[in-house]
Amino acid sequence: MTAFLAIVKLTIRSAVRSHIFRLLLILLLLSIFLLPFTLMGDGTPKGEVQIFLQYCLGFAEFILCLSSVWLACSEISTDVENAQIHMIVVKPVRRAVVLLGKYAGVVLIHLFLLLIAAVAVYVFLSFRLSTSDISEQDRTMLQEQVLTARALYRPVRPDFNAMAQEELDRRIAEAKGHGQDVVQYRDDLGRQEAFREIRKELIATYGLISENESLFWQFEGLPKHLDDDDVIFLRYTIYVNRYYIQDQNSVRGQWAFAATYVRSDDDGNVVTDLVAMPEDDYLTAAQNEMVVPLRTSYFVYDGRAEVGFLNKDTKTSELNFEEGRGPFLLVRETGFFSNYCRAILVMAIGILSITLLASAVAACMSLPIAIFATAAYMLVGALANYMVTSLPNVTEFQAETKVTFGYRFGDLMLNLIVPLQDFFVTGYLANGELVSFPFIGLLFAKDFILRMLPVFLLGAWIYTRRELALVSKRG
Amino acid sequence: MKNRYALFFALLAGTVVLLFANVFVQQRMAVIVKEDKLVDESFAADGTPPIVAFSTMALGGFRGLIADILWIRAGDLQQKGQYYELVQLSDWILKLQPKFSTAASHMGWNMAYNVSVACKRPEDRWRWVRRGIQLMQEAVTMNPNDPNVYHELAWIYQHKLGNVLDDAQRYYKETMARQLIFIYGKHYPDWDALAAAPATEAALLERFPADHPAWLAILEYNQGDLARLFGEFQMNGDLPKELKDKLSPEDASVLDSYFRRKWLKKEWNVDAEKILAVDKEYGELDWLLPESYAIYWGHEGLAHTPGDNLALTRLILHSLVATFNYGRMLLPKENEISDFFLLVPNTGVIDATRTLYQKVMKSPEYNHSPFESLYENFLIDSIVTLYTYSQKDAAAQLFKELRTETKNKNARTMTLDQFVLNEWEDDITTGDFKQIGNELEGLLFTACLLIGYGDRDAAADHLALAARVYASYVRQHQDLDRVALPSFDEMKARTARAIIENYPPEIANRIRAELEEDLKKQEQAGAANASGSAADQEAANP
Amino acid sequence: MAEALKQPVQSAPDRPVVVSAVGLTKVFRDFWNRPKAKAVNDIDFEVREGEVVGLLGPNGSGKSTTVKMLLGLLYPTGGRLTVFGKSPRDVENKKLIGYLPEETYLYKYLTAFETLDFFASLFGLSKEERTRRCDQLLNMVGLAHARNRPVGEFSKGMARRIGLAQAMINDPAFLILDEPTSGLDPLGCREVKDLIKLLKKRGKTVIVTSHLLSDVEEVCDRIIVLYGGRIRANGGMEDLLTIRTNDTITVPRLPEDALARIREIVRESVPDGEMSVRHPHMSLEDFFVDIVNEAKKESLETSGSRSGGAIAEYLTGDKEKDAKAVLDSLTREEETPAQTLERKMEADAAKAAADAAKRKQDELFASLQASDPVSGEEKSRQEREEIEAKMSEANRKLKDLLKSPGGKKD
Repeated sequence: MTAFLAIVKLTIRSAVRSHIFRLLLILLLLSIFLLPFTLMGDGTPKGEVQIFLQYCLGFAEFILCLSSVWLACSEISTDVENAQIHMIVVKPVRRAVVLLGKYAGVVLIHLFLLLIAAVAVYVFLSFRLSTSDISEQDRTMLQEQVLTARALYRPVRPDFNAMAQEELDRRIAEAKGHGQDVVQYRDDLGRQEAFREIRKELIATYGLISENESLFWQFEGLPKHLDDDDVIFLRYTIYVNRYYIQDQNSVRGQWAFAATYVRSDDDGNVVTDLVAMPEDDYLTAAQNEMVVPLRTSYFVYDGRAEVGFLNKDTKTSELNFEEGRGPFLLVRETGFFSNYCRAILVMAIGILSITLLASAVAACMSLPIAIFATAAYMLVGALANYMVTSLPNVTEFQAETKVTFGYRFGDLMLNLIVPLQDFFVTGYLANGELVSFPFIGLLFAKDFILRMLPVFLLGAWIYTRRELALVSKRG
Repeated sequence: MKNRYALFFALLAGTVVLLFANVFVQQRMAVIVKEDKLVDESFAADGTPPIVAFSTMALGGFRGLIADILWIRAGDLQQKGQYYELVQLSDWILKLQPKFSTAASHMGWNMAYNVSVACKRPEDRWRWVRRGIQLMQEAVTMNPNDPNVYHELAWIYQHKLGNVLDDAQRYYKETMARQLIFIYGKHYPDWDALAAAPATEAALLERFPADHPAWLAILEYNQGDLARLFGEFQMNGDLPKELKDKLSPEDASVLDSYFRRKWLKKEWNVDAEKILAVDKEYGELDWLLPESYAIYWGHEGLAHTPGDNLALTRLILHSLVATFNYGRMLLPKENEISDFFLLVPNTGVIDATRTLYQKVMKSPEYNHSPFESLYENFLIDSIVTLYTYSQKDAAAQLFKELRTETKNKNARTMTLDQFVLNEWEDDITTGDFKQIGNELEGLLFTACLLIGYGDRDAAADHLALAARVYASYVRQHQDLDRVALPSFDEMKARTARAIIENYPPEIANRIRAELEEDLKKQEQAGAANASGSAADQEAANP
Repeated sequence: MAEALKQPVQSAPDRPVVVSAVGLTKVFRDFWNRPKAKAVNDIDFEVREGEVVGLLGPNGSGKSTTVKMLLGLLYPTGGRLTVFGKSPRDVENKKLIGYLPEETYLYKYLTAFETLDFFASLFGLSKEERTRRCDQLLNMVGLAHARNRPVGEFSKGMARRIGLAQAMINDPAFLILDEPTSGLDPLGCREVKDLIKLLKKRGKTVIVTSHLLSDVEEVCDRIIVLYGGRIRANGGMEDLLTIRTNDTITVPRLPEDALARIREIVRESVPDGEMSVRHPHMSLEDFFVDIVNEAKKESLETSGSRSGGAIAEYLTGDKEKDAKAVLDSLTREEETPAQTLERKMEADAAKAAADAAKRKQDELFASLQASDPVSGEEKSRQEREEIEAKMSEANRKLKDLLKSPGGKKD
């Protein structure tokens, strides 16, 4: 233990002396203290806070990741390269302990810096919010939508497979009824293809609402102990026709909410009523949030709720609630500070993971190659994640159609590699969404334990079995 | 041995000859570069803006990659409907790829058009349109010779702010006018003075050297801190009283003009000198309105691009027509913006419009047919408008041109008076009772409003026209057995009352003063009617 | 003689084996796993407890490679190598091993004390223990004054001393010193050699690698000579170096007739034998050491290293500070009765010899004073100094030999 602590201390001292580390530290300070003044929000206080949270913390985290990679590689590789490690491994210290000690040293520095950055950002934010002149309306919006932590509940996704199968059967029966012998339905392969086509179509058209028609969404799994004081938000995005951003304006419609209550006079029957809001104009192509106007005790019953929308628009042909874009129910779970701490926790896990990777790689390779290998890993991970999440949105590419090479490649890679974006949760903070503990736990298990730890163990094993005198530059 | 040297000398001689010839080629190339404006002068003069220089050098080849990533992110977020990052992302993309003018145009258009309509409140919409404009302004700075960016910027002014398609268009105009009048100091600033004011701090210091009494006054006021003085000026819209008292009137005016010119350049990126030039070329414009700014930027675009540009010319033309139709702002109280502003035609631009049309028609590059009908309609509109506003001579001149230059039949066969009335009656003869009523009410409304805004001549013309229309209608439909229109006076009084109730006191007072008698008569008649109708009602319901 | 050289000779067959190498081979491979160079080619040797073995050979002969294999920094490609009966990579074994590398790789920003403290903590020692040992070691290697200076500022000699100190920090049973005297001034060399001798007396096993043959000569019991990866010679110093065909006799200065008589005897005993007579030389090292000691007495300042003179206490196990006395007491623990007796006899003999020498010198002094007409204090002072020098030399030799328990302090 003494040996371990001594190595940790030594690593920290050595790290602090590194020039590049000092440079990155300056960059970190700049990003925390200077960046807020250069960021351009959209003019509203809410936008300002959002962009501040998103970018300030994001930059700080990114710089810390870079720094931890550099330091870990530098510490571990250079010791081997300039043979300083010889003095250590001839002592009764296990090599694994040496590696762990260096890892722990690098991690400690960066966790400390992360803490400082987090505190600085939080203080800055509080200061900014307390001094500036924000209107009451803006402040309320800020409190409700950003400076809070709300859990997102998605509507129950219909069973497209069952629906597609049903439709296919219906079509086959219909064809038979008409006496038609459709070639496609003859054999299994043709039927499968027809099934896929129908399924695609169903998913694509699911959210479309024609004039004077309505669509209802079910929500399950909501917390059961909600009372009237808990405010629930409805977040939705309506599109006209498809989700292209052109030709979007405002449309007329009506929201309806299901109220469930127990009738007191009868034999305690559970009654469900539909409460409709008055017709109103709703802006399209924008993410909107509104408070559910129904009392929560009526709205949520046994963890379930139902929301519907009626299309009263005469100008457009169809409204579209794009699959995956809502509507969502947002229930406040905890406060901003708690959420902030959770986000910092995720960032800390990120630093732990990345340093683990860098240590493992540096244990086997020389400095430039180690840095290159780590950078390559991170880049591939980021790119793969990008291909899978962002590309479909921009290229009008339905998520069910996984045919392009980029998407496939990204998908495959994500099973093996940890993408950097996993640890950047500032988007949640900026949208007032909860970073839940199950989420954090899953992240930790999936990324840190399942994917980074084996790499580290491999690296440590190699480190233990290496002929250290072989690589000495002094030959 | 001899062979080797011979080859070497031959090559050397050849090189010398080529280098010599190159001198001529270079000279020719330099001329072409200058003519076709292949090098951005502004960049070359001031040097590349530091942030752009930094990003170009520090990021190297990654610049394009990062710009792409940011672009996709922006698109991604927009699809999700999350806009708060868009301003920052657009700014970064512009700084990373300053010369990619198409991208800049797209981003500016995107913010001004797509994002703005996603907001409910007019303030939010204005903010996004303004962001689009600011982005385009920066793009213009980076690409001073690219016509695309000028066109986009002018288009946003003319089409988004100027036109009436957006629900919040009145809000836009009001806010823009409010901001501008604060900078100008008054509705129609003295552009000569502003253009003559010192353009830079160095020029100012030259004007007020160290021993000048004005400079001494400034020193006394705040130790010569011009920047802080400027800040105070922007906050109050005027020089601090302390300082003003110490300066002579001319010096105060020079200083005032200097600050205003600087402020205008800073906020809206327009230069007073150029505004003066545009004014001189196109006629006196109302510089509180977006159409004027559209013309400014179109004009700038033409000045900076080699040769002629159809898109920009057409844009200027449209803006001129728009200015002609709605290019003057009338305010209830002069030099004070309220949301009761009125937009009336600006007849001063007719000549410029005609000149530009003729230039376009004469130019062999342009396809003439769309312009011909446009021109004809323009002439008809201008004749009617001029006539309505009692500028009969100008109308006559245009009428002559309409006769000779276009294929309009009516112009050839009718007199001016007939022609104008015909244009008006066209709507009257074909319309039904409701339409006529609307038309008349519109005319009367405009007439009363013009009284309210103090333009009595125009009001009188409108009233005259309304009377003629009324008479003409009565004449044409006197045989029909229908509920007739109320009497002309009654309609007039009713409209006047409506305005008095809903408009600010300045307007109401003027109307009251003018139409006192009519209103009194109306009251008496109304009282009589009321008692009568009450009796009718009682009879109807048991 | 060649055969005699090649066979490994044990000097103490009953001692446990510390290092055993059988058929040890190391082949370096290039990137494509083709053999590039055979650094060590099938060598067999043994090192037993209590031996000081010198590993000699020109550059590239495989000395460093062998040493690195002993430490587990390289793995043998063939043969067997054990240290204390276990694999060289065994972690527990390392508690008993101390290593001084050829070039000291120290962390330039740590101070001397912190460096030793760091290495001490790798052994898991408690803080008090570490501080104690570090202080003592610093004193021992003469760097107490540079305790808080960063090691990066040290001269090469000082760095070597630190290296030596860290090698000793865990009081190892087995020391491997790679070029211990390189970079040290003669004073330092002397101290290192003294230290090695001391360690030997304490029964430690030491392997010394060196180019400086004179150093090896003085301290080692056995030498192994490597060339081209193979052992060319392996045996005790005495056995290898003794030229048994001649004798050297050291006597006090003899008058000419005595010399002539001795020549006669020699010519009689050995028909062709030639006798050469000359004054024995003190080693340059001894001379140098004496000069410096004198200077010290006059307390001349030096900012470099100073000879410490004090062996670290924990190495000695008791509170003695005086080097000379401590040297005596150290040997106490390791003795067998036979050795004690032997020592006693040697001591008596030495004492007798010393007394005789002293008497002789007194006589000499008296006769000199009588014969020499040169007057004056100067001459006598010169002579007195001369004699005192000789005396002090003799005394020093005596003290070296003196081994009585309890130690006679001077």
